[in-house]
Amino acid sequence: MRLLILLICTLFMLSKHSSAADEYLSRASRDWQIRGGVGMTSFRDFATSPLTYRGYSAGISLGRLKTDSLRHRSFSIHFYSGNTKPLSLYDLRTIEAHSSVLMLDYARLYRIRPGFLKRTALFAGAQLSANGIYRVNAGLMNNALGLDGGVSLMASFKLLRDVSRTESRRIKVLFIPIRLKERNRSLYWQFNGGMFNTNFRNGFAYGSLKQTTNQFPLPGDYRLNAFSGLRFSSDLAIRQWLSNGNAIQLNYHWDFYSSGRKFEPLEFAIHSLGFSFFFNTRRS
Amino acid sequence: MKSQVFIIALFMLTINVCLTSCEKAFIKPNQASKDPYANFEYLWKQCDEKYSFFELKQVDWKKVHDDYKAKIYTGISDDSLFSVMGSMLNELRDDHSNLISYFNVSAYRNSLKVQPNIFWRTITDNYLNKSFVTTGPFVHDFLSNGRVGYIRFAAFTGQINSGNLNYVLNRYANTKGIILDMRRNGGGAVSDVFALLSRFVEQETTVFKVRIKSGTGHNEFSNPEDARVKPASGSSFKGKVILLIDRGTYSAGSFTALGMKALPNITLMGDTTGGGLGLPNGGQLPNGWTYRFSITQTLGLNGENFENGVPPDIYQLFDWNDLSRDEVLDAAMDELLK
Repeated sequence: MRLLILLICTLFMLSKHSSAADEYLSRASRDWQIRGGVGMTSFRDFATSPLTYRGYSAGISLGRLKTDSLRHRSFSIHFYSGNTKPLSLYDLRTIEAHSSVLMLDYARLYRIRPGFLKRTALFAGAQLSANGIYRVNAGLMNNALGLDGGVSLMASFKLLRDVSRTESRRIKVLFIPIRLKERNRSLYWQFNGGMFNTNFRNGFAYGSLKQTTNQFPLPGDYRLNAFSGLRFSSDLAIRQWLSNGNAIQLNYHWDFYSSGRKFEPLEFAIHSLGFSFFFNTRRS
Repeated sequence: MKSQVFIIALFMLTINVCLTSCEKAFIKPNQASKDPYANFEYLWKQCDEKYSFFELKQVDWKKVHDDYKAKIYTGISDDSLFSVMGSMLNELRDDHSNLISYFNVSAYRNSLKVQPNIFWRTITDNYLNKSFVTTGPFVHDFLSNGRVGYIRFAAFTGQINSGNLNYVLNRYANTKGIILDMRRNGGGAVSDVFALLSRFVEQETTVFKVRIKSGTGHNEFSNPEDARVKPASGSSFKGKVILLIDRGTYSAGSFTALGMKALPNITLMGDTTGGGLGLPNGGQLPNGWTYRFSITQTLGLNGENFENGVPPDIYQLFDWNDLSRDEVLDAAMDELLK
């Protein structure tokens, strides 16, 4: 807790020293983001299996972003779904698990050390992330359904670099002349590290009494495990603005979650390559 | 510009490598293993920590470990390893304990170790009309000139719904009573248990209690929770009911028997059920085989443990010397008509 307070205070102190940033990075916008992507999901729930399950997944995200020269705020919902298979020494084609993940992120970042590098901005702040992980694996009989939830308060850092092409250029590809127009582009990398992670997970025996007590299955034997587990995520993206103020983006998203060692843990990781559209609703 | 593209590419590559390394730093490598000792120890430990009936069944699990580990050797075939580990699970004397591989399923098969108390052909040949009715999972008909309803319920297939229950109970609403025959009902969907019980209660009723393993000690359990049944909105049966049970009545069948034992208008007749009142889990071994074993205990309203079987109120056995009569069914009809 002390670390968090210290971090937040430091960020506020640094952000007070903001000066006029360069024009491009100071641009204010409010965008809706729609993202689709494909990736690789892997998970392992030690309560039911020591094997890692891995497979392809598809994802979709919806986000609302508000940015200006000093602050970046965003709220986004992500949903990933796909089928996974155990990484086993046997051919277990009949054992397959379906997994889906729902994530809600709210991030608030403040610019620090403005002007310290040309065409580069550094932001820091916090992200509150909630995630629900759902898996179905019929091979696990009464443990076929797995449902886990978690909330993490994460420290966030975002490095933004203006990589715009400011002058048009002519190049030749296989003797064909091509004119490259001016483009407004940025590259950013955001890293989030969980500081306080809480999860909601089935108890010691990983089973529910509710099946045999004729009651609603949740909360059942589920326990709230405060300050337990790990969570990291990051985004690496290149964004290009269009002439109408909207933008397109190619990004790589990575998310890792572990429920902690109180009971046999759940580990979950997503690597996803996605394409986004940004619709700017604040034209200036 | 070229240098900028190069820097970007290098940046992305560095980040990717860092992220992948970061993830691997926090998770253990995949633990897939064909090592027979690793798989044996994994299964033994899972049972040791989570199985719910060691004390009741007086199983010395550490001795079982030593006895069966001695049968394993490096290079043992899959078939032999399966045989050893399946036999180890059978020491639990619990049909909810199974080892499942791609080539075999181990089972204790308690129902094959006891005398059956029903012969279905005796009932179809000598008691039912040839036009008996099948409604969902129920086979049913009138007996004793329409004075008794007979309902055969052979398995909990998860098919019970308000439609088939309403039809069956309405059909026998004007009889002197019904016989619900669950002999050799090996269980299935637990949801069916409460769907069935809800048609025989007039107010919310606690029918049994359940507790789950909560720690590694053999006797570490959660506090018992009540299993309650509310009256269903559809048809219910207020008359006398005889539930027929035997050693083949297992799992969801035993849950139903225990639940009905708590209801005043229902009499249990036949033989003690086979038990199976622990809810099984499900898990996977490092070699990919799967397993299950009981992780809960079900207790009577006074805390009695019926894992070894729910006893009948009236003890009655089938006479295998005369296949023209079902003595259990005869006794049930006599009980309803007296």
